[in-house]
Amino acid sequence: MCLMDNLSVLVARAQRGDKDAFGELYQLFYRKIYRYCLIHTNDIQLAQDICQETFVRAWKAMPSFSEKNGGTFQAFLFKIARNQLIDNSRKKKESRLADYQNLEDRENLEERVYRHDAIDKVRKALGKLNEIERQIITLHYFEDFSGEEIARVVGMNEGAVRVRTHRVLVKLKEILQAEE
Amino acid sequence: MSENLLKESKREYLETPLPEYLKYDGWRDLRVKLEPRGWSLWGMAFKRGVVFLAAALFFLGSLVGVAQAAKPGDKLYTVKVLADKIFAQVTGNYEVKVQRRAAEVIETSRSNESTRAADRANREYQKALDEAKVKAVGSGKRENFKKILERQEEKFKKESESNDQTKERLDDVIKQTEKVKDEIQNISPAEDSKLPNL
Repeated sequence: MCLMDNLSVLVARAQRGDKDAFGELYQLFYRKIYRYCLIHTNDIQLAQDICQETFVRAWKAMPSFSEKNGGTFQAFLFKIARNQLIDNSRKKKESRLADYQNLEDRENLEERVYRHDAIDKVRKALGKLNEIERQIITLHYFEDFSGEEIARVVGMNEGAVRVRTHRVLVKLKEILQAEE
Repeated sequence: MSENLLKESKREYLETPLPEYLKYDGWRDLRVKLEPRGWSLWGMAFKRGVVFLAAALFFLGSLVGVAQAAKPGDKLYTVKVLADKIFAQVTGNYEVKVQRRAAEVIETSRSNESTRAADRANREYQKALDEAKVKAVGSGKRENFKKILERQEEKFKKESESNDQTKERLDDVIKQTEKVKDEIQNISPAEDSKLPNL
């Protein structure tokens, strides 16, 4: 049985209420969801909370998930996570740009341990993009999502995502060059 | 240069260290928060049911609203008659039904509506009269109903006199109204109990 078949079986079991199957899905995806939340929040505690809440919501929404029309469980999870990030951003009433630019103010010891130069520079550059552009870059470049999966997460059509991806990559490179 | 930076940042991103909490306690803590699927399935079915019911009520309400403008012979006229029937049964006010059907009889007789539409209007008026008669006798509101019929008869006659074209069509309903009025007047209290309840 291939990985995708195995994933489909786990999803079907979880949809029927099997918590162990959902636990296996959690083990497969929590790392991805966490790092995705972290790059967008730059806050370990918050990224952890959003990651956990994403899985709670995914469990509730499992019966409505369908693989028909090319839907993937990964895109389903990331869409929930993205909505959580947007909700969180609204709640805090702080601009996303400020979050990205004031990195030093928010650093704690644990963050200092893992932070590296390259990702910090890119994170700062991401702060100069809008929310959709940041999502597209993260999903396309860092997570290797297909155009269809990105379209599902950000709620755009696939064609528009393809065009936007190319433009945003160029824009990000320009920002990075300007800062060098 | 920016290419290299992007590649390096991707490597760092993929190697993002996991917090101890998520690694060791994340799933254990999450598991207890998950509701049993049965409940959430019922919850979802209930939500869907409420949404469906609200949509159905909205659709029915709109349909009945639109049907109020329907004339005898129109497709939605049946809906209008049915809505009036339900209203009469719920409120016990059968006289309103008679008045509305009578208004339609006058309207169809005035316009150049087809004979079919006029016939339908007359039939519905006759039905409304019969039902209201039984209800008026059963509930002891004969006098009130008689007055309504008198006013209705007066309207028919006035309309009939003002327009030769409507005269022929309205003669029948005037006779029907008079007949019911006489029946109500002549009915004895002993016969009241023999009338069927609708």
